[in-house]
Amino acid sequence: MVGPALRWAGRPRPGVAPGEWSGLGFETLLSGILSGLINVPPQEIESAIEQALRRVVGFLDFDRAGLYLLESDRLIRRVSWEVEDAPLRPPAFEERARFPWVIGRLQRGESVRFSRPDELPEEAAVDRQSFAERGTQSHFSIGLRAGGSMVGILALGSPRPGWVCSDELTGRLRLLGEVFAGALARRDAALALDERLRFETLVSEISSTLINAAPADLEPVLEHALEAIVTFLGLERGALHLFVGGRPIQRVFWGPADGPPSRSGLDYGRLPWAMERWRRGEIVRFARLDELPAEAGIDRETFAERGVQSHISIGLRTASSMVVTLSLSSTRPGWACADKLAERLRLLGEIFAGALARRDTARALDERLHFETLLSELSAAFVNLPTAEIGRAIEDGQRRICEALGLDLSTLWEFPGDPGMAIQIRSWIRPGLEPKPPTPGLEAYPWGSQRLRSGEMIAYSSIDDLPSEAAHDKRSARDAGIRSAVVWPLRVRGAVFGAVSFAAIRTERVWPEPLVQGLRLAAQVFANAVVRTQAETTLRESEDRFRLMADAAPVMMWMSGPDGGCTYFNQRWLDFTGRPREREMGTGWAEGVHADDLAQCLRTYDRAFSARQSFTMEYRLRRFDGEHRWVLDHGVPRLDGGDFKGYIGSCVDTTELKATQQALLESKALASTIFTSLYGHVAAVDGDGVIIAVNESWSRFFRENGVDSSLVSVGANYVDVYRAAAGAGDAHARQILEAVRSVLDGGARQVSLEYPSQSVPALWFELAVEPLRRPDGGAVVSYVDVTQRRRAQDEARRQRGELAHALRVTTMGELAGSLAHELNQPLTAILSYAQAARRFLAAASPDLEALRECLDGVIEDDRRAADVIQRIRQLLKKDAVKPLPVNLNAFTEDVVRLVTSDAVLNGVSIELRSAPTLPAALVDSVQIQQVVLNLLVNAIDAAVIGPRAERQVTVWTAAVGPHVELGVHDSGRGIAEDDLERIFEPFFTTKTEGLGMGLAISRSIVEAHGGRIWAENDPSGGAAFRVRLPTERDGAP
Amino acid sequence: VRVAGDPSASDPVVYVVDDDAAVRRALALMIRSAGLRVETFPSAPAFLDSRLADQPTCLVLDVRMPGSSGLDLQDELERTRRDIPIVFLTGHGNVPMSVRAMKGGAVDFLQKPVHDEDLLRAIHRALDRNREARAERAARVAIQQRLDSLTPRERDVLALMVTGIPSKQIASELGAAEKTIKVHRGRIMRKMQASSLVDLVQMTDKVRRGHTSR
Repeated sequence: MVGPALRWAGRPRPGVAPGEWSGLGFETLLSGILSGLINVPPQEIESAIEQALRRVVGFLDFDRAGLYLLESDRLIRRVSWEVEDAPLRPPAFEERARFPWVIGRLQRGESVRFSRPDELPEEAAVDRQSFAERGTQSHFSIGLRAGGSMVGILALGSPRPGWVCSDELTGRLRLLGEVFAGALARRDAALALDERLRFETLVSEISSTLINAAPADLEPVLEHALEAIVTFLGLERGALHLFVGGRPIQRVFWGPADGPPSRSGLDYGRLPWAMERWRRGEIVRFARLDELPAEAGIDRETFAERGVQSHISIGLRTASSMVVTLSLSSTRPGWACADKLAERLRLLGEIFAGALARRDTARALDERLHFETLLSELSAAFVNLPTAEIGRAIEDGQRRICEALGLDLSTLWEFPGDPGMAIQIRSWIRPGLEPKPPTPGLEAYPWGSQRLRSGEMIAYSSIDDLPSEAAHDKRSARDAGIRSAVVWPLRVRGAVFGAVSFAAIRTERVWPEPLVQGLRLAAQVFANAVVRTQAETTLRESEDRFRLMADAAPVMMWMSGPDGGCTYFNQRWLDFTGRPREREMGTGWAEGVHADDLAQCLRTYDRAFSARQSFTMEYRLRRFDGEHRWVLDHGVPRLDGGDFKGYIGSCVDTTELKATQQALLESKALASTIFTSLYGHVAAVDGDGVIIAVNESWSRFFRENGVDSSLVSVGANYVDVYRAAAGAGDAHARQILEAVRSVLDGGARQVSLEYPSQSVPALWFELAVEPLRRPDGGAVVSYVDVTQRRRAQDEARRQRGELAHALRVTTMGELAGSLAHELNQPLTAILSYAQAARRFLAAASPDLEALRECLDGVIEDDRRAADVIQRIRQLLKKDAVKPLPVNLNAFTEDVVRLVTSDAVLNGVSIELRSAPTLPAALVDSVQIQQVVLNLLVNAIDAAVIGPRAERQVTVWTAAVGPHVELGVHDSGRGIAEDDLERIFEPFFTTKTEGLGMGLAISRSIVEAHGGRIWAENDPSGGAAFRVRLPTERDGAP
Repeated sequence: VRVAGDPSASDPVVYVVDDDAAVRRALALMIRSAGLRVETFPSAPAFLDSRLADQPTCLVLDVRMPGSSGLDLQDELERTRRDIPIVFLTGHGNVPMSVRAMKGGAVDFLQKPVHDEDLLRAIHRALDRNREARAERAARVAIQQRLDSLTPRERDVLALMVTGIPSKQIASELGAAEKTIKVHRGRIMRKMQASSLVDLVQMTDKVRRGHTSR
């Protein structure tokens, strides 16, 4: 055994002879560690390194070791190990400032070693102090470098003085550290990829769930999505906020049930700095509170109060005054959100915001429709009521309006002749919400009263919206617990005589214009009713009175007699139909009803009439311009002291509302904002597959991909387009066609599939097809780009295979070529024999001897081919076989045969000198075959350097004592004397394409067998590698 | 190894060089079954050491062999001016390899396992080419023998005759009487067995070409 022993003045351990501290022992350890690391899956690398550190520390008799990696300028201790009773604290290079001198040296790639702290120079006083505090007496550390800069530190330490490290050992430890750092980097990359893959999958899942989430299910879906994200990122809280005019209107939250009191949420008035950034669509993020700038002082306090230590929030603008934020927080500091992640979170946030906006639009529509219906009912009810019941009916109206709009309080005042006083006459408050002081009269609102008296209305979403001159009003409102309100003056024939308010107590709320106008109508209905009670309390009901009332009403009204014939239509009705009153009378009005609706309309009317019940019906009524409009007609029986006098009814035009409400279902409205806000490329098709709506993103997508727009725009038949493509042999088109058809036929509730585009580079899409919920059937087809997810999947898969492949490719590639050649030879012979036989047989008098020769040849070479195949099977068998007795000569012959073709191609001849008799070697033949193969490939590579005639590789076997030996000699240049041992080090290579692992692995395999492998130079030229293996006669050489 | 065939001396001989014994034997049997004489060799040196038959021949040669490859053998034959057409066989041929072989004058470059008809067609083409070459060479040798029978004076006259100048001018060039030149001319035509001056010019051209082309 040659090879320079490592020399260092180790402190002799009691009972251990210094000889055992040989470099060989350490080399063995090193090689074992390194070859072990190669097959470790990424998630086990850290523990494998820890194990390795333990062995190194144990072997070198240190007490602890640590591996630090540099991550964005911070030294992070990634793996460390120390003996159990180590009486000292870890080296803690994390605190860089405490080791300025040491880290400076390590950054230059130098090592630091001392066997007692006073060996440190004068300028390392700070470091010395730090070591002393940690009780470190002996120390070794080395800077691990990659690409010219330090990537980490490997440090060893002991509380005992006297440990000295030689230059050789330094080199070995550097290698070890660099391999560790490389393995960790590989692991990090692999895990990051895995994480990216999982995140992309999550994003895809969330977006596809949200595409078609029904408005009513949205909140739980969003909550679930937040939970998924928060859990994925290892955080604790996630929230979505909708701000209007800077005020939080709505919130979806996910956080631990037993967590800090966070459900009440942040006080957003106290996040001025963040709010400004959200408004601009920017991101607020910090990994610790002190990262917030000085000008965010208030914000910092607010976050701190809520226990938020790490945070990211993204401002997503959905409209000019509406801001949605997605925020994620942790109560622990140190979570930093990378730009890439922030980008993906923004995408998610936009999907969330889109869904919220969609839901709100749908909700607002429902609310409006409901409200308009309510107004129509109220109008009819008031006209018909006996005066005595009007007060109660007004209260009932206030209740119904508040309930429909989610409001809490409504008050109706009347201004008497004296403008300084208002009498509260009617009020409704949500049960359970008693007004704090009794609801004050209008005198508590001097500014408001003034405004109302002059005929102006008041609307505020927040008390703060009121002007400064309304200070008294503000106070009164606060005292009453009111947070938002709308107040309309009550007028009759232009004169203000009172006011009605609608207010929110529990939350602030916004007042969209249509809602404010609806409340104006309500105020008008109430005003009419109040006027009636005032003016006509003593009068009997009369046609004139009705007329007066009805003509002032904001809706269309009619009245019928006890026989069912109509006796009256108000001005609005007549304005609407554009017909004279006489034409409408009796059953004349029915002429204006759409033919399709008439039968149903009359049936409803008759049925209600005979039962004296109130009714609501919807029908299309021709307007003066000839257009049929949908009206909602509400009729109630007129009773006068028990006498049935006929019916009175009121109608509202609901055409626009109906159309908008149907937006989600009907083709015409599918082009609405709701549809266009869907995430992904979306189209709706009818039951036949004709496209009835597409969103903006759909059109843009196909336009950008150069698809003929006539094939994919509204009116085209989507099914036909894909049927044609499928017919032309496009496999993906066939899949898409099947998916769409299965949903259209009602067979599938939902189908999704993933497929690549034909563009270069290919984009991946997930196609989802869902039924369109409407009577005529149809489907919603959406494409979501999942390229990011696919890419992450592919990368993860590739990286997993890469390492394993790198280890095999060198030998397996050669092997394949060589086996192909080997198999080709017997096949050539067999074919020629057979063809010869056929020709001999064709002769007039066949040469039987030649025929026999041919057939013998066929049989023989068939056997030869079978042998080759058998050998391939042997070689490719993965399972590790236990050591078995092996005839080394036959074994060597087989391996030599594998490389013969390569040798031939390279002009190298291989000579095999087998010992006549050999004891059986006790080896795992698959593993040792790799070793010999590796030696042979190396030998051929070495021999090629020489002139063609001298390219020679000799393989021999021999019995040496109780062992067997296999040698491979090449005619190459030999090995530099200094390298004879180093060549077994991992990553030592002289080949441009070599991994430098072959010999290192070979050595670990041989040593695992209890054998030895070494290299020597032949004095007459070339180098020889020798492998000594155990036999049955003897366990170990 | 000699595989016995019809030992007639004028019959063509096919040489097979392949390091694989089984392939060698099988190819030999196949070629023999087509009625051709075959001789096989296990390596390039073995073939080079042998004496080639004075008959139409060709060489079926494996590209990949230990030691000296088929392409090396082709180079060596070219260098030593042994004119034998080669049919290459290869386990997995590649383009540069076949280009090199064909540039070196190979008749064909066939992939193993080889179909008998392809191989035999190539062999026959090679033998035909070799036959023509041999006939050409034989003709050249006969003319050379006739040239060798001329006297130095006759050779001088011949050299001027083939440039096409009349006897009178030849006489003045060589400083001899025109009558003497005419006698030389008659002898030259007889010795060279030439039927006309054109025939004579062609003969000398053939010899000259034979010298310069090799």
